[in-house]
Amino acid sequence: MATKWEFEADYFTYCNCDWGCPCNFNARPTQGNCHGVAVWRIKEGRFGTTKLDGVVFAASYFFPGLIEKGNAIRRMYIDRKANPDQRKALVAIDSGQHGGGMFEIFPKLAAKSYPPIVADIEFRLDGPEAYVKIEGILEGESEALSYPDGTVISPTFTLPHGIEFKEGLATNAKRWWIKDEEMLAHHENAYGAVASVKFTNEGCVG
Amino acid sequence: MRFHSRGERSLADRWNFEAEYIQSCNCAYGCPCNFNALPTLGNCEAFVAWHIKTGMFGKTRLDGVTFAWGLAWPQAIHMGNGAGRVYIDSKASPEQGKAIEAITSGKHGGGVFTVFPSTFSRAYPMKAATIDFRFKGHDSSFAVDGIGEVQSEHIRNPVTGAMFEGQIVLPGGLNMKKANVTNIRRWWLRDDAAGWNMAYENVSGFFAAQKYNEKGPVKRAG
Repeated sequence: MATKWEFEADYFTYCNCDWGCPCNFNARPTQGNCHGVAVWRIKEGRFGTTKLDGVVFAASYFFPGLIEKGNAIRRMYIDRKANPDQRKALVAIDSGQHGGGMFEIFPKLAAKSYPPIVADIEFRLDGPEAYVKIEGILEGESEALSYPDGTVISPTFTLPHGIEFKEGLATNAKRWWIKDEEMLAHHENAYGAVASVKFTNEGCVG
Repeated sequence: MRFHSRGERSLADRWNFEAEYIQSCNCAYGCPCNFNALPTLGNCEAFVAWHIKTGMFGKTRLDGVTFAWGLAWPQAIHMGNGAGRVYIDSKASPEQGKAIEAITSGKHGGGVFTVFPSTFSRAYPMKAATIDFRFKGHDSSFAVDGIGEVQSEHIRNPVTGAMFEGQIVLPGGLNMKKANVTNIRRWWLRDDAAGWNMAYENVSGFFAAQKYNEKGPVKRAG
């Protein structure tokens, strides 16, 4: 029986695709595979009776091909500031047993889901400028996207069917790296996006 | 290329239009170039068209004029060495034809109408042909008689087959400020004099309601 949950969060993501990420439009990933990281900072939320306000968590995933083809390796990271009940709630959401769109789909698309890690997550978000760091595991930094002449583009997507966000601002992931089991990667000037998102058991609803 | 400062621009140079716009190119859905990424295949071939609802170039009214632009660059647009030819609907008057020729020459400002010509090594003379322009949302299309056509439809979700609708909003956009993403089921453009024989299926498309003037595309409300 699924527990009722919901949250509103600040969201930061990046991957190994080119700016804009073709996958947002159902096109193929730029390099044929998908290395991605996503970070949520919950503004307000609950899992059953557990309040999730202020909790930060992240997820990494490596798909060898298209996302819908599965066979992914993935892991969730929970900020150490989360209390034991909040940690349990996130582990439950991460199990894919309580719905939530991509939170349900990604575990099903994984060949290997590593158990969640509790760690210090440093996270900042200010417009297109975002930063995340989990010591020794991953780091990512984004800035505004601009044209070759320096004009800032500030491109946003409106994706009514979006499973990750409904409205997002595309950014430049200046550099990012990950070192966690076989998830090893380093990318520069790749796709990034920031958004304000709303999730329930039904998935992304805003 | 010389730019006038705002004060220097004469009244005769002023222009504006509100138009329906259909775009196709050889990139993947969404077109990475919108986000300053390199084109999917490394080069850029595109066929785009405007149907002006109301507009003026100096004293010439442009209401009802339809024109298309065939475009090709060997690499990303800003790397230059491009080629372009404008096709104007035969129904346009000689004055309207001159106005469209002037706007697309790059000498009268206006976002891509300046930027594209500045990246051309070849701009072929404008050609007149019958253009059948159908602005119908995701199912928009246009055909330049005997030269080429563009047919748009919804992108489909690869797993469920559901129709996908999405928009991109580009406050700093040089052409589109807000556009709907589509699948170009098929487009082709054959122009022997330009050395073009383009044909693509299931590539990036957009449709948009546009407002332009000599300073570029204007952000629209809503």
